[in-house]
Amino acid sequence: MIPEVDKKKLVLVHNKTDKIDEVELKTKKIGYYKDSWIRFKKNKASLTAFIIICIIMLFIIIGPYLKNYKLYTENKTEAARIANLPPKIPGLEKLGIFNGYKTIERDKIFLVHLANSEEGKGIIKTKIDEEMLKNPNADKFKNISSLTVKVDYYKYIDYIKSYIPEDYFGTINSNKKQGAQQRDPYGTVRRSLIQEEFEENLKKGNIVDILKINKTLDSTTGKTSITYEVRMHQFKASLNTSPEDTYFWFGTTAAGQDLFTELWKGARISLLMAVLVILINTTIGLTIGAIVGYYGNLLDLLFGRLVEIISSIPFLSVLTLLTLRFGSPIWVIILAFTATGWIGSYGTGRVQFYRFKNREYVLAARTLGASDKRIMFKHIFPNTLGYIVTGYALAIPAFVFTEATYSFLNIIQYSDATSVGFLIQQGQSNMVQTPHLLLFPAIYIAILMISFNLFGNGLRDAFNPSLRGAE
Amino acid sequence: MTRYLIKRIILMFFTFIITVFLFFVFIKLLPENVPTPLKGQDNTWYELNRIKEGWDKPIITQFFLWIKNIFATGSFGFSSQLKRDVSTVYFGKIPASIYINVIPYFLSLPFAILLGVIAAIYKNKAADTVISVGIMIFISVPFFVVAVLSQYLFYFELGWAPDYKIATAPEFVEKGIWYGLSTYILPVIVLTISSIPGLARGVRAELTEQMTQDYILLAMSKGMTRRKAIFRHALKNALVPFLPGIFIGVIGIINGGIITEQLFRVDGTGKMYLEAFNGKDFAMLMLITTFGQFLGLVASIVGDLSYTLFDPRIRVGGGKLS
Repeated sequence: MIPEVDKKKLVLVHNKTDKIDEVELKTKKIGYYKDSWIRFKKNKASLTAFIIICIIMLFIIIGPYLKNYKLYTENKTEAARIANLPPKIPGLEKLGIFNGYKTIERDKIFLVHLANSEEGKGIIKTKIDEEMLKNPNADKFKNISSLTVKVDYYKYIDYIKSYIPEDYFGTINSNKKQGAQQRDPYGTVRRSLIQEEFEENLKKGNIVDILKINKTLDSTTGKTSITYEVRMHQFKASLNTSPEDTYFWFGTTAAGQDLFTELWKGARISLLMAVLVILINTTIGLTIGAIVGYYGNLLDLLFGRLVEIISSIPFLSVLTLLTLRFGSPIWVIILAFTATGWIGSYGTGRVQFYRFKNREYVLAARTLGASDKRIMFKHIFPNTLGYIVTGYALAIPAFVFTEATYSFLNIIQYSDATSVGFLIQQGQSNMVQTPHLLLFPAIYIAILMISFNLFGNGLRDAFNPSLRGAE
Repeated sequence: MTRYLIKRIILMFFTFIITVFLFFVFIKLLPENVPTPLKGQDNTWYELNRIKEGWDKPIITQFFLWIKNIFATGSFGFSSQLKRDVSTVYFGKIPASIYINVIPYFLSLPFAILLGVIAAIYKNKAADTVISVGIMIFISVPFFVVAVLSQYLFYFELGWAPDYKIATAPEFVEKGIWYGLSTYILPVIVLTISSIPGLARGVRAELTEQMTQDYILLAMSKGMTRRKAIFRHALKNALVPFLPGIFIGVIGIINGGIITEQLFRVDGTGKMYLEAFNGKDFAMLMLITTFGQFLGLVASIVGDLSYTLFDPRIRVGGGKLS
C-alpha cells in the first residue's frame, strides 16, 4: 500500500537549506536478528532442541552441586563399599521405576538366612518358597544351589556390608575342610576402630555389635591402647542416612562416585573445552583468513601451500603424538584440537573476504578514504557474521563427538577430570551387571548431540535462508 | 588433464615428505623413544638394528636411513616391543580390517541412496519425516554409543546375537563356519546402519535441489512423468557430488576403524594402533601415521580425478577457484 503523497511536495530541491521529507514506515521495523528469530521460531524441532539445550546447560551449571556427596573425596575405601548402586529417584520409585531394586543371583543358604534374619526383613522382594525358608537343606531342594531374586539393592548392600558378607557361609564351610586355611567369615564386615573412633561412632549409634576387644601394651610408653573389632551400619556410618532415605539418582559408579555428579562434571568440562577450542579456532582462523583473503597474491599462494600441508595431517596423528609427548592435561587436548582445527575457519574467512573485497560497497568505502582496517572490520566482517554464528552451533556437537570418542578409546585420559566418553567406556566394561553405568551417560550424549545438531541446523536456516536449499 | 595429474602428484609427494619428516622428528624426540639393550640377554637384535637404523646417529641421518631401508629391504623399522620388523606385523593385519568393513560399506551405498531418493520424492510427507528423523538420530549419536548399546540390547538383553564379539580363528574351527559367520551379523548391521545417514542426507538435499531446476520443469512440460524425470535426469545429476566420496570410502576401508575393532574384537589395524599407542611402540606408530597419511593423500587425488570423470562440466586445473 502506497500512502498518498501530496503532489506539491514533489519538486526538485533548489536550495541546500530545503528539507527533504521522508515518510516513516507504517509497519513495524524488523531487523536482521529479529527476522532470524522469527524464522527460527517457526522451526518447532529446533525450538524444542533449544529448550532442551537450555535445560542441559542449567544442569551443567548446577548439577554437580545438587547432590552434596563428599564420601568419595574424603574416604575412597568407604565409597568403594557402596559402589554400583542402581539408580533411585524420589517420587518415581513409587511408580516401580528407579526404585533401587535389582535382580541378583546368589547362594541359596545365604539368601534364606537373609530372608529369615531380623535385619534382613523386606530386603528380598521376590517370594521364596515357604518350605525352603524353613528348611533349605531338605532333599527337595538339593539340586538348587542358588536363587535368582529381586532385592532392594540399597538395603541389600547395607546388609552385606554391615551384618554378614555374601560369602559368610562359604567361608565357614571351607574352614571346616581338613587342613584348609582358616579365614575370617566376617571378612570385610569386621572393622577395627581405635578408642576415639569407637566412642564417636557409639554416640551416633553406628555400631551393630562388638566382636572383639584387643588390648595391646605399648612397651615403650607403658600405655595400653584398646582397639575394638566391630560391625557397623554401613550407610549410617558412611552417609549418615538409612538405606531407605538414601537416593543416588543415577546410581553410583564402580568406585563409589555419584554418577549424577560425575556425569554433569564431565559434561561441563567437555562443553567448556568446546567453547574454548572454537573461540581459539575462529580467532586464529578468521584473522589469518581475513588477511590472506583481503591482501591475496603471494600471501595467498604461500598460505595455500601451508594449509594444504597442515590439513593433510590426520587429527588422530596430531592427538596421538601430542598425548604421547605431554600426557593429557586439558591444555594438550585443546592444543591438539586447535593445531589443525583452525583450517576450517581460515577457509571461511578467506573465501568471504576474497568474495566481498571487490564489491561496490568496498570500492565506495575505499574511494571515501577508509583505511584497510576499517573496511575489513566495519564493512566486510559484519557480512560474514552469519556464517560464523552458525558455524559455532554446529562445531560444538562436533567437538563433543570427537572428544567423547577419543576419551572412550582412552586415547584422551584426563588425570584430574572425568569425561562422558570415559564414563561410557567404564560402563561398557561391565554392562551386564551394572547397565545403568552405561545407559545414563549414553542417553545423555545421544540427547545432547541430537539437540545440538537440530539447534544448529535451525540456526543456520534462520541466519542464512539462502543455505537452506530447496523447500 | 595429464599435466594436472602430474602436478598434483608432485605436490602430493612434497606434502607427503614434509609431513612424514615432521612425524619422524616428533616421534624420535619423544623421551622414551630410545631403545636400550637389555642386560644379561641376547642383544644381537640391538646391535644389528643400531647399525641398520642408526639409533646412535642424528635424527636426520636416521630419517634417511629409514627411507633407505624401506626401499632396500622393505623394512619400516624395528619394534623393540615386538622384537621384529613392524611392516610384516602391520600389513598382515589389513585383511582382517577389510573383511569387517567391506560388506557394510557396499551394503550401505544402495540403502543410503534409496532412502535419500525416497525422502526426496515424498518430501514433507510421512515417509520423509520418518527417514529424516532416523537420519538425524544416527548422524548425531556417536558410533561407539550405537555400537555399545546394540551389543547390550541384542546380546545381553534379547540374546539374539550369538556373541557380542566376532569369532576368532580357533573358534571358527571349533564351533563351525556358520557360527563364526553369524557372529559377523551384528557388527555388519551396526556398521551398515551407521554409515547410511550421512550419504542419505546428502542425496536427499541434492535431489530436492535438482528437482527445482529448470530442466526438470522442461522435461515434465514435454510430457514426462515426475517419476521418470527424477530417475532419468535428476538422479544422475544429484549423485555426481557424492561419487568422489564413494571412491574415497573404498580407500578408507583399508584403514579400518579403531572403535569397531576395539568393541567387536577384530584383530585388525585399528586394534594394532591402540596396542601401539598404549604400549608406546614408536616404530609401529611411525608406520601407522605414515600409511594413514599416504592413504589420505591418495584419496584426495582420487577424489579430484573422479569429479572430472563423472562430471564433464568440471575441468580440473582450469584456472583458479574464486
